[in-house]
Amino acid sequence: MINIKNLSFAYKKQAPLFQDLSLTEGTGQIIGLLGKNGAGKTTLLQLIAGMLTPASGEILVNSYKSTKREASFLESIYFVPEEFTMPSIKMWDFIEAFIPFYPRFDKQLLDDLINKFELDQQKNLSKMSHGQKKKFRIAFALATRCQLIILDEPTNGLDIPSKTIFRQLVAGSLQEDQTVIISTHQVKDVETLIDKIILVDNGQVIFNQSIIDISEKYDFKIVSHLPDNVLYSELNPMGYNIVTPSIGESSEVDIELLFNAINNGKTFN
Amino acid sequence: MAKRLTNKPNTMNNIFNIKRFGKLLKQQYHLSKKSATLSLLSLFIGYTLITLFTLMADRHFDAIQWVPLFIILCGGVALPFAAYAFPAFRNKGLTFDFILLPCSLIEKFTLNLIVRILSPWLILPLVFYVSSHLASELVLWFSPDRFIESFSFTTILQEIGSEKLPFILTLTILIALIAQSVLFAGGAVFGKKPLIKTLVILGATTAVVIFYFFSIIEWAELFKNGRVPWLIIFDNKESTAKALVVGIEIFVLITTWAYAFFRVKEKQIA
Repeated sequence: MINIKNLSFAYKKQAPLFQDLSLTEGTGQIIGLLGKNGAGKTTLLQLIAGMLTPASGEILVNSYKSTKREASFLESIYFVPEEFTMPSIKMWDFIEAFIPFYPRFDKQLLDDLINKFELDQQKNLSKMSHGQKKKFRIAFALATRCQLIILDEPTNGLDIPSKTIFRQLVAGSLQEDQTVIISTHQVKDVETLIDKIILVDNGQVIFNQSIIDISEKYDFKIVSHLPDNVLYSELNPMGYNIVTPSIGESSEVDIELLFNAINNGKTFN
Repeated sequence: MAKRLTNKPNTMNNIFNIKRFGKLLKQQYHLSKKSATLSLLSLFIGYTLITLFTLMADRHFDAIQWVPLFIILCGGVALPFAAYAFPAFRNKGLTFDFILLPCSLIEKFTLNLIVRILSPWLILPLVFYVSSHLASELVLWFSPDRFIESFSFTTILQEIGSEKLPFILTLTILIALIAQSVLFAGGAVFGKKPLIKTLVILGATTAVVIFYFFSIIEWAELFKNGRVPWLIIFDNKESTAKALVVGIEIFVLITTWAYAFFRVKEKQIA
């Protein structure tokens, strides 16, 4: 699905953001792309979508070279950016204008998603709040049934009930051949949603594991006293959030704790 | 025979697909039907009012007097309109959607070419024609003693004369197309204030070219002391000169379009 080979990229007059980065990802998963501010999450997503040209290396998405931006490649990918501009037209007109470009578009699914997000199809898009616009773009993205859906900070601007609905809709609307990449700072918002975590830092992928593997290998829990085998701990009002090697049972992964642990130099193989 | 396995969904025509281009036209209709209707209405009202004031200032208005008004009003709209080609490039969010829209670059470029360069050739004369006739009728209704010859394309073409007509018409159309295309290319290059920036660049380039020719003719004393520059060896018949001028204009036009195309192709989100 996604095959990145020896990718190097730098913005004009800036230090290289990625150097010799390689990554291979298959279909049918929801990937959480995490990283500190300025780590290059959005840039990596834009490179995958063919919106930026790498200095060297190659990015193949579904066997298409993304930089070529071929029409058949573009109809298999949908990108919801963090900030976007919506035209001053009714939602219904937007739907009519863009549906024909996506051969797998599911209008019934779109109607369902719009209803679940409590949006009004007769409303002018430019008169909607940022959160409403975002919900519409997310709903549209899911309804395209594109093989690759990229969501950059999708929960920014969404209220708490909408975040819950977002998780339910993403998890419930995908088909087996679809891959979703979600880039976010707010890891709690996608904790129960993602199948895999990719962490980027200093131009490299520093962590790439599935949630199942992590939960089988490590225990994430809250304790009042630190045990001897603790790999990483953080103080919290009730005691400590800790990561320890698993003792056989799989536990729910605390992505925020894992993220902090990796950023503090802990390695998880 | 074994089929080559590939993940590519299909091998559709990625260069130009007429069906996909049709979808693009339909998309444009949905996105801009409201703004296009309002713009046309404003244009019609504006043209009618300007024509009305012009006619009222002159008691005797011949057909040929329509020509400068026609050129100013049509050019005054068509040129800035071409300069603001690729409106998606004025805003990062829209650039994003432009690049990711599932159409080939040629299709997106062709659409802009049709909308920004070719459509004014059909729409503006039509609006001018209707506005000028309405204004003429209104003025004659208020003041029947005036002489107003209605605007008519055939009358203007007859004034030019049949012998010169094909060349003058070709020359004028090509010059107008070049002017539009240069500004169109500016629209592809500059994100903000493309009209002003293109005019500044154009002015600077023209100044350099004039200075260059002035220097080689005057300072190098190209024609003095019986010297004959190399370009004089060409046959200087009128037909050759005409063909050369038209040829250069076509070359400039195609080069401008090619330049604009490659600038759009290189467009990135950064």
